[in-house]
Amino acid sequence: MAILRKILIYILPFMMTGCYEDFTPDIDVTPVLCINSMITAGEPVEVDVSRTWLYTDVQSEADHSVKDATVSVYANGELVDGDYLPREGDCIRIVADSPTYGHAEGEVTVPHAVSVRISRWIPDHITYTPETYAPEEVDGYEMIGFLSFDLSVELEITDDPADENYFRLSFDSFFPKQIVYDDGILAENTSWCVFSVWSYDYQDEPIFKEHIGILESVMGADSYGFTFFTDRQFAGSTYPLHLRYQNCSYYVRSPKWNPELLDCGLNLTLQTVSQSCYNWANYLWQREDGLYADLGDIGMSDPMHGYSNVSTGAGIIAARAITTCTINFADFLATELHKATSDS
Amino acid sequence: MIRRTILMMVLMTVGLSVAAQNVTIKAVNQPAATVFRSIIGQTGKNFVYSSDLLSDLKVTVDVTDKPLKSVLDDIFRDTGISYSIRGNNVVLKRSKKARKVKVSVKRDNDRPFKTPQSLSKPNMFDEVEVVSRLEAPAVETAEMGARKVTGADIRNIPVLLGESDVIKALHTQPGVTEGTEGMAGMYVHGGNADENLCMLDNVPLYQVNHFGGLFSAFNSDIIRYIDFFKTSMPAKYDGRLSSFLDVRLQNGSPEGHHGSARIGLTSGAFNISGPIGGKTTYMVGLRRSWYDVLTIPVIALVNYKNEDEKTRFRYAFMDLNAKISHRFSSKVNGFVSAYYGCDELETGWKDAETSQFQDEEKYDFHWGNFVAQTGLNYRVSPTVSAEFTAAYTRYFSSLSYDSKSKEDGVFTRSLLNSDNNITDWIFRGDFDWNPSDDSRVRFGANYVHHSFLPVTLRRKNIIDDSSTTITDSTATFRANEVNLYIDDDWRITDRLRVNVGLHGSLFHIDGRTRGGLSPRLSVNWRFGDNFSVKAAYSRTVQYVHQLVRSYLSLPTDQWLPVTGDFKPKTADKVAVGGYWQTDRGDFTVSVEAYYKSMHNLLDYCDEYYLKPPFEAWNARLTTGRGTAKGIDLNVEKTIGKVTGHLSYSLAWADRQFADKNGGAKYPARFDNRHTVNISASWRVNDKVTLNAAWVGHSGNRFTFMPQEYEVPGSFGNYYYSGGTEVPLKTSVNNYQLPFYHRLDLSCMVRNSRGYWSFGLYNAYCHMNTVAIVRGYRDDNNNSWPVFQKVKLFPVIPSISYTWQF
Repeated sequence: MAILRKILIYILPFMMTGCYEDFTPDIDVTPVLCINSMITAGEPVEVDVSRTWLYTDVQSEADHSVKDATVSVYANGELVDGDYLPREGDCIRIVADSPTYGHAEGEVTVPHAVSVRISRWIPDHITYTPETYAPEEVDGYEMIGFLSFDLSVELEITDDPADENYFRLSFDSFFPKQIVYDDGILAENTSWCVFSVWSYDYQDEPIFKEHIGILESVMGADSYGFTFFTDRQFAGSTYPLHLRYQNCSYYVRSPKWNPELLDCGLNLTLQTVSQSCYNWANYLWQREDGLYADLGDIGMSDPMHGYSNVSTGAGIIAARAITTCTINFADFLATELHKATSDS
Repeated sequence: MIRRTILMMVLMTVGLSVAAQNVTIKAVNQPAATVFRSIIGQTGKNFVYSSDLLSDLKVTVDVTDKPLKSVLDDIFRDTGISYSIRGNNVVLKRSKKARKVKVSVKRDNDRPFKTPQSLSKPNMFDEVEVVSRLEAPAVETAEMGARKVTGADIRNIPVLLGESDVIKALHTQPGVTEGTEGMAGMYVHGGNADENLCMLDNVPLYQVNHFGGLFSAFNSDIIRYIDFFKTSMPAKYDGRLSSFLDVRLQNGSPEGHHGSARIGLTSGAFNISGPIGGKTTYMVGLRRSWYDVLTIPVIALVNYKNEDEKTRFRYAFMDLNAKISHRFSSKVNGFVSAYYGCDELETGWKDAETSQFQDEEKYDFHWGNFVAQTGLNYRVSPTVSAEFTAAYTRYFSSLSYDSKSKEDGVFTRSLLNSDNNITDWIFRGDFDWNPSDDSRVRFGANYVHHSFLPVTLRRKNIIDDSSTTITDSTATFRANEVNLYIDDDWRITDRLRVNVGLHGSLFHIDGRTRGGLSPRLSVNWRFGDNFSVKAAYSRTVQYVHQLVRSYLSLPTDQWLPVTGDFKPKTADKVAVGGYWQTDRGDFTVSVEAYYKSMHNLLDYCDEYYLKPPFEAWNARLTTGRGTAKGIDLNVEKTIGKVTGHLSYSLAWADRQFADKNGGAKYPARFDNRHTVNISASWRVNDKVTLNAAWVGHSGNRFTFMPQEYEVPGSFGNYYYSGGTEVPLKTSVNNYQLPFYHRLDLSCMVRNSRGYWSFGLYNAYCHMNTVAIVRGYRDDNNNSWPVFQKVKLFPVIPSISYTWQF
């Protein structure tokens, strides 16, 4: 947290005139097994088994994998093979044993996907720039220009009252693929388009900030990049996520009007994640932006250990189920391009 | 010198026949007030004197059935004090001969004698005054682990930056741990910092330190005395588990306007007191830090070097005490007083005016205490006195954030303001009754109305001309607390003395009433005149607790009441001890062993930070228990040019919580097995005093996480696409920091106007380890991970001058 560091810069040297001294602690360290697995409903289970290491052990930093480990996966108490596809609601238990590093295990329940729908989306601040290239390059093109707009989306989540749910929202844009030569240059006179979303305004939806304490708020911490949230504030009911995408940009260039070039859009993916996954993300936020992690870093508070749901305290066994909604801008872009070109 | 004349009448009279004028008394190096008390018990006489006349006068006398006058002659011979018997009063004043004779009274008051003045205001003689209950030597009393500390004692202890400090003075006592070096935290017999009740003139204070804990909130220049109890607690005190500090401030001087002004490295203080008319006195004390002044050139230099960004930084703390006392009659004194102490921290930065952006961020923090009170001391009868107090006390903490930005002609501003506070209304009556010479009964009651506001947050967003304001607030918790107590300090025989008491309390909050009964018992069995053995039991109950997540004292460390399913914290403590003093009383030795069992303790649970902030704070806490046991040894030399003490503590302290450390027991953070304190004071001559203090103790416990592991980036790493290396969890407080030791020196040199104080903190410059961190070492573009000890405080010299007038 920047402000805390700022304060300490001025206070600590003046009043404490302290120093740091390197040392090697006289403490026994026994590496233990670490299990990491992100289980996705409908996909095979992948397990990564590694080991812990001494923080200062730079010699073995390159490879912490464990070669002699055996891994067993249990679904609802039954041992399953590698082809097993976990289903929503399955309790997956992963057990790893190594002659060198011992035993580790952990389990997770695959969450249920929830019902989501886009209740509305509204573009605004629409601007059209007809000539993004030199005039001699645009003659004879029926589709050419740069369209930018902001986008407000209301994504409605219907929470299952039977579950305590944790979510992660993500998005990605899509547009038609281009014809590109091996050297990466577009073919001459090729029709092409690009659609991108420049930024997402995380401040617009307060639920992304539910993990931020008041002190952290006052100290200037933000939720930038953090799109995890829970159903604690809308358990069993419907909640409209208010999403704001800024500077959505559509570039197009085509000698002939080609409706296929309008097939652009936005995929909104809502992952219902396990509590372990949410806790891990929350831990990362606390470590990067939380006040007390900063104090711990300078020795003025208990240090914060990594979150884990594995028996050895190392690793995360997480699960998710994915639901995706799509906003297709084809009609909107066609309307706006026609309107823009006719206006001009 | 602060010339304060507090006229005092000791309240105990009767007992034996008033006509009996012969006394039998044996006292070796006893405080004069203790000897007077014995004489009062035998003769029924009152002693009337200025407390400044006798403060810290020690008396040695051994008489059997001798006339009172003869005994008084012995006591005051060569002391520069004369007496006269007027009716039932023995009136003491400075002898006029004292103008010419060298005074040889044993005093550890650091102020020189001034030219004796007659007690020119006889109408003030009968003033009723609150006095310490710890005047008698430990071998005589029933209390265990109790200590009276005077303002002079505090000033004689060398401390960091020369800033005399109440809490740091108590750190030298066996069984008291200082916690993290330099901080004004106090951990008594394995307890936590929030388990010590600090009372300022009978009113509790919540925030007792400044500057993240570096200095305490008490201005030591105006402290009269402190009664400190850590083992057997008088029934008057409850509400905290570990210890009680009853801090009493000086009253105004009725003889003239006197005061002092002190300038030190980090702060200055100004104190003045005097009369207002014939019956009223005033006292004002102000202390303020210079830190903001000292940082001005540093900030200016930083801003000069950085052309793109201008830094804003200011920190200051202050204390203001004011007190007006009025004598209504020979039996009634009243006072009105106020205390205001606060810390202010302002920081932030803004882009330089030449910068492309015009962003600005400000962070302002303001926290402290305000106390206003009025009191009445009333001598109901020759055997009964009373103290009535009505007080308003408020702890407040305000944090604000102001962010301004101007980009592409659009002005945006975001304001956040967070407040939390506690407001108490207190009404109490305390009574002191002497039914006989062998019994002293103290009883009383108090009512406290608490109002806790854990947090209020206001957000205001402004974009050009439009603005939105959102206010989030937790509910205000109101609680009503009632306390009743009674104890009797009863000398059953010449050998057996008992202090037995009971404190009862009720705490009503959220429609639930919780109650607590706190029995107290301490017994003293004397083997001869110089040796006694004591045993004690006490139970204490605590209804409020402070949530602390760092080693610093932060304004966000909220005090909260016990709510929900949590029960009040309780502690049961048993102790036994032996006390011995030499015939001359120049050496005293005490050994105390204790065992303390603490129940319903509260602490943050494992991974508490994963709980959402909007949930009740109880969701982040776990309940558990703790034990502390140990032996405290103290050897003290109180007479002579060289005085001092040596103490040693052997101690164990542990904790066990349902949801912390996996439910397993772990050592407390300040589980310091061995602690040694040595302090010495050498009065070289009337002008120069040298002080030295050495402390050494087993290192504090620390949660040390030597291993780490990696989690792939695909697991929800929202800020970085790669894998994340994180520390592997270990058991709590699994590592012991290296042995801590430090020598502090100070020298006080007087002149005709005041005194200089020179100090060396950590004289041999042994920088002690206060924590361990995981860091990196950089060298020639290479970087590799290393463990690092965080070491604080090299040798730090200090100097201050106090001008007395």
